[in-house]
Amino acid sequence: MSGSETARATGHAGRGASLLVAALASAFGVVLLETTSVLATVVSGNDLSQLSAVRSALSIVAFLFITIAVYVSAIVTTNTVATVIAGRTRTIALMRLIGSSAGDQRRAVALDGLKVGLAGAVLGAVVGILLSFVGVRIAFGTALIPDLGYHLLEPLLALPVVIVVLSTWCAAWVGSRRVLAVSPMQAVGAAEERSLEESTRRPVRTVFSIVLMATGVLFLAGGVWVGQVTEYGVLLGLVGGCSRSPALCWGRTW
Amino acid sequence: MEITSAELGLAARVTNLCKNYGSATTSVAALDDVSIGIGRGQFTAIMGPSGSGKSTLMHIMAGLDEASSGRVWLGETEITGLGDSELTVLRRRRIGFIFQSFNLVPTLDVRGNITLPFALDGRRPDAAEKDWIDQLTDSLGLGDRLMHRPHELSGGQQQRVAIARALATRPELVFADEPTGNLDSRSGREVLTLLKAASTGYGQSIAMVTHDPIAASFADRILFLADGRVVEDRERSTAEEISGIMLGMEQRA
Ligand SMILES: Nc1ncnc2c1ncn2[C@@H]1O[C@H](COP(=O)(O)OP(=O)(O)OP(=O)(O)O)[C@@H](O)[C@H]1O
Ligand SMILES: [Mg+2]
Repeated sequence: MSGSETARATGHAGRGASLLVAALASAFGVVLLETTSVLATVVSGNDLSQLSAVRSALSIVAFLFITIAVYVSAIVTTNTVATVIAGRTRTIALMRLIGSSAGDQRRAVALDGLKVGLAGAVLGAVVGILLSFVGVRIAFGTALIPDLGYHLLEPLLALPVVIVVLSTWCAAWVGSRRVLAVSPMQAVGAAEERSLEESTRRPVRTVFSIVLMATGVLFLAGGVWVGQVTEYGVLLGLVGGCSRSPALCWGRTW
Repeated sequence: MEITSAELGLAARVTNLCKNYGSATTSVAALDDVSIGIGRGQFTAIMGPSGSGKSTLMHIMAGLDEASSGRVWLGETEITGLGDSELTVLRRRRIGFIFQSFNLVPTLDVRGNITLPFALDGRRPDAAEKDWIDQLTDSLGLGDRLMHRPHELSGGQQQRVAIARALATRPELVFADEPTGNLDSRSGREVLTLLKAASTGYGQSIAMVTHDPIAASFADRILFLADGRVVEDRERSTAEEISGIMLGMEQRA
């Protein structure tokens, strides 16, 4: 089956939310690692022997926060994909009727998710790196941090990007299981009425999830800020973030 | 030994077909012991009042729905109890569909819609198939519309695209459910003339569900259903004769 043909046939509408959350998660991850790197450099000062120890400690914290962001982003993507499928039910049913297999239809949706994840992650990373450059420049300009020769382009930055791509792809695959429930008979009727689900499920959840995502980002920024004063502040912020984000996520019915 | 469809010259047949909807207490018999064959190369119309089971019969013959009991063949293949993936391949390669609501893919242009069955099969039409598609689009008057999207076409034109798509793979049997239901009488007649031409011109087998006597008068043979049973089986008839039979059926009911 030619995937492009199916992708073209089923349309590309509704990927906006997935793209946005993937980009947010990726940008967030990159900025977080950059912040970690800068903080580590500042904390250890000119003592290079201390640098890697401080860095790895901070990185663990950073990755815990990235995990939360990726988690929220994956849930948004899963729901977005399911919503998109609900809106495309008729076309999918028609493709099934004419002889497309359920698996092919599902793969087309998941492939779309991979592309969206890739685009979002790269876009987010670029934005994140630019933000970090600007941030360091400002902090340096206002004498908040000393001039220590910060490394803002590191291989480690690829990690959040890869994580976001894979998680978006996975989430799209999970969300796409709804394709399997579409029967070719749904295309034969003359009626074009939308199912209850199709007409009610749309934007509220997506917006809600994005708000959640933003909350997570704020939490994190707060944690990092407190962490600059006392190292235990970071841990406290982390505990708060860890317990709150999943709680909010699970509070949603999905 | 069992009689094969080929020996009978049949493109499809069903035997002792029953279809019940609903639970045991509120059961509706949509089809009640139907046994028919659709002649190869013939244009067959299936008529009957609303709710008589025409669409149900067509869906079961096309492998879209399962019968409660009875057996179904497409050509030599018994499709009773085939799995979803086998039925999918069957629909893709051996069956064409035309519906009242056209059922074109809105995001594909006319050419994309017509070649969709090939794309779904993971291949491009070969030279002979390309020639055939060109011939089809010309004879259906779509030659200068290939780059248009369905919403840019009239109902009659959309239905002609659907016909081209249904005929493009030269399927063993084309199912048409009320193909003229959404068209004015002139476009409707055009569509029927094209179906008739496909049947007489190169022996395309067609099974058309309709409750319009004029549409049925284009067919070589007309089956009449009432309350899920076959009540009449006529050779080619005029619209007046068909109306008479329908009227008689309604008066008896
Ligand atoms: N999914 C279903 N669930 C329950 N009953 C059904 C279902 N589909 C059809 N029926 C019933 O089966 C009977 C036959 O329906 P069918 O759609 O085959 O009629 P038809 O001859 O095509 O009618 P029309 O000319 O109105 O299209 C009707 O009594 C209908 O109510
Ligand atoms: Mg019907």
